[in-house]
Amino acid sequence: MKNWIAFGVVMFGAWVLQTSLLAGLFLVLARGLGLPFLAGQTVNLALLTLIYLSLHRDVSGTLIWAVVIGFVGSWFGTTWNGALTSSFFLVSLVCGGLRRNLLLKDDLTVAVFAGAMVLVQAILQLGAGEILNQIPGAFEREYDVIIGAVLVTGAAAPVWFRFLRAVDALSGAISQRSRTMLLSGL
Amino acid sequence: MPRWIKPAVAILLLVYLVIQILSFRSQEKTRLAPAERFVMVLASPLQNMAWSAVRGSVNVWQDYIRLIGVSRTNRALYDERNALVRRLSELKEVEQENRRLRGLMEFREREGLKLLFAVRIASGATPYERTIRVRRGNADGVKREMAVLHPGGVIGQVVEASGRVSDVLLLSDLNSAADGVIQRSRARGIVRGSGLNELTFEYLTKGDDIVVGDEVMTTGLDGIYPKGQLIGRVTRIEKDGKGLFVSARVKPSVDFSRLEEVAIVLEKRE
Repeated sequence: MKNWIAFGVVMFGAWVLQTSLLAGLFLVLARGLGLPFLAGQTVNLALLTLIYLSLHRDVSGTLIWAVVIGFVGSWFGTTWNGALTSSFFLVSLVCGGLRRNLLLKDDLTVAVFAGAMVLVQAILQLGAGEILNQIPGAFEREYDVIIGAVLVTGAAAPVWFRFLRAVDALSGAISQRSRTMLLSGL
Repeated sequence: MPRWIKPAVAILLLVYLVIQILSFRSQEKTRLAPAERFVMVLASPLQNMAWSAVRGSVNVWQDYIRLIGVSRTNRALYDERNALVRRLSELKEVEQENRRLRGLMEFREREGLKLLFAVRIASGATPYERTIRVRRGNADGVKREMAVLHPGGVIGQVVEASGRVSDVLLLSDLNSAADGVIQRSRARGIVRGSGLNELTFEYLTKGDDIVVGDEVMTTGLDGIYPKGQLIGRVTRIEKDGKGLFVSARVKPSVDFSRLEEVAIVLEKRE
C-alpha cells in the first residue's frame, strides 16, 4: 500500500514536472543553445515510470497502472481521448512480455531500451491517431519530434530509474523482476 | 718656534692625507688585497642571505600579506558584481515583461476586442501535441473555442477550460485549422497546423495570386478567430501539377516556443 501511494505521488509529480519544469527547461535550452529542435521537447517521466513498473511489477498490476497514468496524463494535455491510456497500456504489455528476456545490466542498455519504448509509444499514439483520422499525416510531420523524444527520454532513463529504485527501497517494495530471477536461480 | 706652526703642520698633513686617500680611491683597482678578498668571500654569502631575506620579505609583503586585503576586496567586489548582475538580470526581466504587457495593452486598444490576458504555466503532456496551459479559466469567463491572440498574431483556440486554468490548442498543432486569406491578393484557403513551427496553407486554387513573403490573415469566417489577425508569411509554394489545388508553407508570425503571456478574446467586435 505504501508503495502504491509512493508511486501515485511519483506519477503525478512526473506529469507536473514534464509539462512545466522540464518543458520550460528545454525551451530555454533551445533558445540558449540555438537548437530549435529542442523546443517543445520534454522528458517523458510518466512513460519512464510506467516502463519501470512494467519491468518490476506483476503484469496485471502494471496494466492498471498504465491506464491510471495515461488517464491522469490526459488531464495535463489535449490529446484525443484514449491516446495515452491505449498507448501506455500497449507499451506496458510489450514491456511485460519482454521482461523475462531482458538483462538491463547497465545505463546504456537501460537508455536504449527506454528509447525504444518511447518510439513504440509514439508509433502507437500517432499511428492510432492517424488511423482514426485524428492526426492526419502524423508520421511524416512528426518524425523529427519523435527522434528528439527518443533521445531525450532515453538519455534520462538511467537517472529516473535510479530515483525510482530509491523510491522502491524507501517504500519497501520487492521487485517482481528480482523475485523471478531469484526463483529461476539467476 | 712660533705657536701657530704645530697646528698649521697638522692641518697640512691632514689635507695631504685626505688628498692621498681621495687619489687612492679614485684609481682603478685591478687587484684586490688578500684581506679585502677574504672579507668579500666571507661577507658575500651573508650579504646575499640578508638581501634575499629582505627581498623575500618584501615579496611576501607585496604578494601575500598585502594581498590578503586585496583578496578580501576582490571577494567583496566579486560579490557586489554578482549582486549587480543578478539585479540587472531581474531588471531586464522586468523590462521585457513591461514591454510585453505594454504591447498587449496597445494591442487591446488597437483591435477594439474584449481581451483577457493570461500567463502560460505549462506545455502539453507529450511533445506530439502543441498545447499550452494558461492561468485563466471558467471563473474568468473563458470558454471553449475562444480565440487566443498575441500582439504578434494568432496563437490558437481554447479547447478546455476549467475553474482557473485553460488549455490552448496552438495553431501549429496538427489538429488546428483556421480560415485564412492572402492579404495582398485576397486568395482564400485553410491554414492548418503542421507540427513544428510551421503551418500549411491549403486549398488555394491554381489561379490564385500568391508569392513568397505574402502575409496570411484570418478571415473571421471560421467563427473562432477575429477577422484581420496576422497568421504568418508564406515561405514556400508547393504546386502539385496534377491536382486542382495549390498549397503553401507558412511561417507563423508568432514564435510559439517563446510565448509567456497571451490574450484570450472574450468578445469579438461585430
